[in-house]
Amino acid sequence: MGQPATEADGSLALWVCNRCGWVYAPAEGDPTRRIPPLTAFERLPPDWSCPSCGADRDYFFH
Amino acid sequence: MRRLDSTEIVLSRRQILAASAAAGAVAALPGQASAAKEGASDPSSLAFRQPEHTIADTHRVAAGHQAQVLIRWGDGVAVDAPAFDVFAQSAAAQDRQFGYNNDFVAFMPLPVGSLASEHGLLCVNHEYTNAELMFPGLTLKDKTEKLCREQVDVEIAAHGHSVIEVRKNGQSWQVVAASPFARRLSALTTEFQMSGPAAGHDRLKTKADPSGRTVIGTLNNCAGGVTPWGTVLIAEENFDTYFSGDPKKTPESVNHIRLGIKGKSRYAWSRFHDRFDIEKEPNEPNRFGWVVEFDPYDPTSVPVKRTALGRFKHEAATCVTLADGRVVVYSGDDEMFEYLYRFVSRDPIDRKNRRANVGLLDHGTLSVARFDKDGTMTWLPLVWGQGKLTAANGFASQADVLIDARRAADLVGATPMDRPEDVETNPANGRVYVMLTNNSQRKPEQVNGANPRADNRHGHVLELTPPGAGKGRIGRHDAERFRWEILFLAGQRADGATYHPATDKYGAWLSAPDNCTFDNRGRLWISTDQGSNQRKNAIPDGMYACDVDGPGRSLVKFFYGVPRDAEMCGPAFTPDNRTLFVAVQHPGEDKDSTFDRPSTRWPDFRPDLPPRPAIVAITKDDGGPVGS
Ligand SMILES: [Zn+2]
Repeated sequence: MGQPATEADGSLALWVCNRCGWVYAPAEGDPTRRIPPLTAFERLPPDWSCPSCGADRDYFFH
Repeated sequence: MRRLDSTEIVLSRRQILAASAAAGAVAALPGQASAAKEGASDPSSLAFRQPEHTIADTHRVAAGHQAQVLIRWGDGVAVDAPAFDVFAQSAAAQDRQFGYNNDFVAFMPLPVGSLASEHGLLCVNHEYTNAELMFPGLTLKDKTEKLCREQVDVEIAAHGHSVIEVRKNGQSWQVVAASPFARRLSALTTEFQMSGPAAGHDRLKTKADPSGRTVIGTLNNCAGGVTPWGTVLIAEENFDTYFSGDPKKTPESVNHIRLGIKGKSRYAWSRFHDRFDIEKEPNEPNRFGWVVEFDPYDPTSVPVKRTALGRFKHEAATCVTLADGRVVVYSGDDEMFEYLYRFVSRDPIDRKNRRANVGLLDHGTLSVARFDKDGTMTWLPLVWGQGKLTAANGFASQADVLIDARRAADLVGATPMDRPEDVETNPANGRVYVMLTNNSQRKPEQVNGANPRADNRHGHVLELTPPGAGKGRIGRHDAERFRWEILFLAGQRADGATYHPATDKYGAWLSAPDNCTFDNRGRLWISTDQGSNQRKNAIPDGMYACDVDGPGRSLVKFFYGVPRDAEMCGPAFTPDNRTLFVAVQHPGEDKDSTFDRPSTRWPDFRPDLPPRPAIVAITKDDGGPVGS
């Protein structure tokens, strides 16, 4: 996953799914997809999708 | 015939569909059936010919049926509603007009208590808003920053509920003008009361409401139910998505995080209304997530949030009356790994005086379901002072148990489900059907009998049997233990779907069962919501139906398809089954779709209008029961 996200580089920003409102919190990662905590949204794999509604990454904004 | 191989046929069908859509109706076209010819070998009792099972710009229905657009976003509801002008929409106008994203639909016969099927009230939820399709110049990415105060207030006013009076003239339904019953419940202006054990609790108090008993608005009303005494229940679902602010900076952080509030909202409401910022008003979210009851037959009735039914993301709230007159309400908590709930009233209904039932849902027992491998399920009561639901675990009273119903359910050992959506009892056999829409997060080590698939992308339908239920017998829905089995796993065969084997020949596959209803013969009608997976699966959301008894059990057929990027909601039959009302929600909702460049312009197909959520009335050409 490369460099962990930090508060300082701003990559701990929350990203919101614009289809269902689910929030990606880098501090938590996405355990069921084996995404470790402190993974910035930008570093999620390209095929990652919203765990709540299945929307792909393009639906997310921050 | 699944694929059309002639360009001319495609063109001519589009032309016909466009022409009929412009006229407000779409007739089924011959030759679209993917089912084989009717014949003795099809074991299903559903004899209709399926429309083409593909995604299209407009809607379509089984052969021999008509689908008429009845009312759309922006059409007048209140007597004083101004005409819809999409380029000059105001909050004041929206507060009187039909709201956005219609979901639950109840047909309430007129007069009250009758079985009238050609005259009644339609009670319709407005779940949420798509600002990028409602206003010019916005995209999915920039709308939260760009929306102005007036637009946000239009969004808030477009949430809630509408009551309209409708009448059937011949085969066609009309909205009755200037009806004394017509009203809007909105999230902007309508006052709601709280009742039951949590009403007035400190955790429900805010600066604007020091009583903890009065709330402006209702949010994210998904599905609902109808009580035996003729009131309507509407269920507050994903209320967390409206709130911004850091939960860790509030005294309610555990609660807010458990309900999904993480600090960022997809809506801009907190920019203009402090109550949607939990750092400023930490208790405001505690005033949502309830089941609301109101009387549509009394246009002055004040809607009430019934706290005895618990606080979670209620998909629906559906009623069954016990032999002794007490009432059972089933409700699913629509999120991955959440639970199935049941409320049993303490008191019986008063059948002679409907108004005497006004407080019936304030007293009773809320339980949550545990499913065991042996095919039994147990209802676990959520009662303060019992088991772990005590002060030692942070519950000071029943109010705390109800406000933190999810946490209470965790402690009693409920079974985490694959997103429980609608839960409905079949009047023909007394069994309860649970739509489990999907759960892509379930890992192989987390599967259990009632949720048997890891990465469950297509969902499944559970069938619960209370003791004594069976053909013509409703059974004991207050019993501690039921039996359960899986009616079918959805998806394609390659996904492990378990429909009737003849579905491949005579029916169609579905994904993401969401809402449901039954016809008078006890057949199950399912509406689906695949979300953005609709494009990936390349099949439309819509109405599907199957037998649940007899040789055609779980043979699923496709009946009605929504226009592109919509979901299907609100199936509601009239008592005579000769009309089926359905709700087309968020047509044109896609990541690249905007007011200016929508993926469809259903139902108006006018270049100056965006797509509009709308209610559709489906009837049969020969006047017979729908689907017969
Ligand atoms: Zn999502």
